[in-house]
Amino acid sequence: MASDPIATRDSGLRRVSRITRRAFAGALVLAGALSALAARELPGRTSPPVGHVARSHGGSSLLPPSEPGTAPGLQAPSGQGTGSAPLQPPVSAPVAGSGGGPIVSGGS
Amino acid sequence: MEELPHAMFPVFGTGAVVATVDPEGLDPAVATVRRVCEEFDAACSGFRTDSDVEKVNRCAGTWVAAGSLVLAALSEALRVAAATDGDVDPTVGSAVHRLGYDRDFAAVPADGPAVIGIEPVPGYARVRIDRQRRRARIPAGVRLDLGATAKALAADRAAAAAASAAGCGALVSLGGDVAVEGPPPAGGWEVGLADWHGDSAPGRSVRIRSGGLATSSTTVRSWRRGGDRVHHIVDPRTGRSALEVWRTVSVAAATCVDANAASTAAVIRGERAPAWLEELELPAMLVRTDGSIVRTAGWPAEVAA
Repeated sequence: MASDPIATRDSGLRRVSRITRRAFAGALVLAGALSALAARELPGRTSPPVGHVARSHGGSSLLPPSEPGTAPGLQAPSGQGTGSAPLQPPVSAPVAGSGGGPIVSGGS
Repeated sequence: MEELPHAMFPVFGTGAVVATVDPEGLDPAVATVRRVCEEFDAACSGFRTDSDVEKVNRCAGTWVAAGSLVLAALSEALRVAAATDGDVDPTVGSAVHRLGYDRDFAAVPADGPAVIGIEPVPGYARVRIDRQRRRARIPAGVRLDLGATAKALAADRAAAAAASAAGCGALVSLGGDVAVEGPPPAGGWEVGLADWHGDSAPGRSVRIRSGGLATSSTTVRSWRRGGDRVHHIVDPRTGRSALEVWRTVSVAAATCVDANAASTAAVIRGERAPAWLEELELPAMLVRTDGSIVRTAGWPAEVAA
C-alpha cells in the first residue's frame, strides 16, 4: 500500500523538529557545564585596567603574554579589596622636621 | 617636637618602634603590635619552615590552601607588582636565595663564591589566588618572597590596631617602615631619615600626619659574592641586585605598603625614578651614591640638620 505523501511529510517534519529541539537542549546543557567547569578551574580572574598600561614605563620583558586563564588573581580576601589600584600619594606632603627623635625611616 | 612615649623591641630580624600620643595608650598599643607582628611572622616569614608562605612555596605547581593573612599579603604583593609595572615582584624569592640571602640576614655569610645561574624572575603574572576557596598557586620552580610588602602591610595593620587599642594616635615603625593612624601629635609625627633605621642621629627628618613613610637602601643589607657587592633589592628583569644609582630612597604615601613599594621600585628604576614618582605625585627624597639629593612632589627642601 502506498503511503500518504502528506503524512510522510508531516512525520518527517516532526522528526526534524524533535532532533532540532534535542540538539538545542544539548547545546545549552553543554554550554552550562563548560561554564561551570571554567568558573571552578579559573577563579578570580582580573584583567589589568587600561590606565595601568598607559602608565607603564615601556613594558616589562619579564611578563609573558597572558595565556588563556593565566592572569594573576588580584582580588584579595575580604577586607583588602585592593584589586590593581595604583600607588596612592599621602593626604598631605611631609613637612620639614627638626632633625631628631627616636623614630627613623631607613634601610633594614 | 616634644618626645612622645615610645617603646622598642626586636621583630622580623630587625627592630620595631611603637609610639602613641597619649602615654596611657602605649602599653596596650605595644601589646597589640606584638600580636599583629607574631601573626604576620607565622603567615609570611620566608625563614620559618612552618609559615603559610613556605607551605605555598613547598607546594609550587599545585593549588594549596592558605590562611587569610598570607592571602592578603600575597594579594597586596600582586597589586604592588602591577602598580610598579613588575618592579616589585613577589616571585624574586629564588633570585634572592641565589644571591645568598637565604636565611635571617644576621646569619648570611659576608662573603662567598660567585653567584651562578642568574636569570630574570618568573614574574607575578603567573601567581594565582582563588579567593573563594582560600587557596593560592604558584608555578613549579617559583619561590615567593613577601618580605618587603608583608612588613609594610604589617606596619599598616599594626598602626590601625594600635590606635584602636590605645584610643589615640599611634605610630608603628617596623624596620624603618613607618605607618601612622589616628590623630597625630601637634606638628605631626617626626621621623628621622637615614641609610639605616637604627641610626640614632639621622640628621635629616620630616613630619608626617597620616599614611606611611618608607625608605629603601642599598647600603644596609649587602654582602659579597665572588668579590662583588650584592644587596637585597633585586631587579626582577635581571635577577641581580639593582644597579646602585640611589643609596636611599624615602617615599611618603597614603599607606606604608604604597610607600614601601614606591621606594623599592625607585631603587630599581634608577634614573627613571624621579619622573615616575612625580607622575604618581608621591613625595620622595632620593639620595644618590655621591650624596646629592633629588626631591619630588612636594618633599620639603629645607630639612633641619
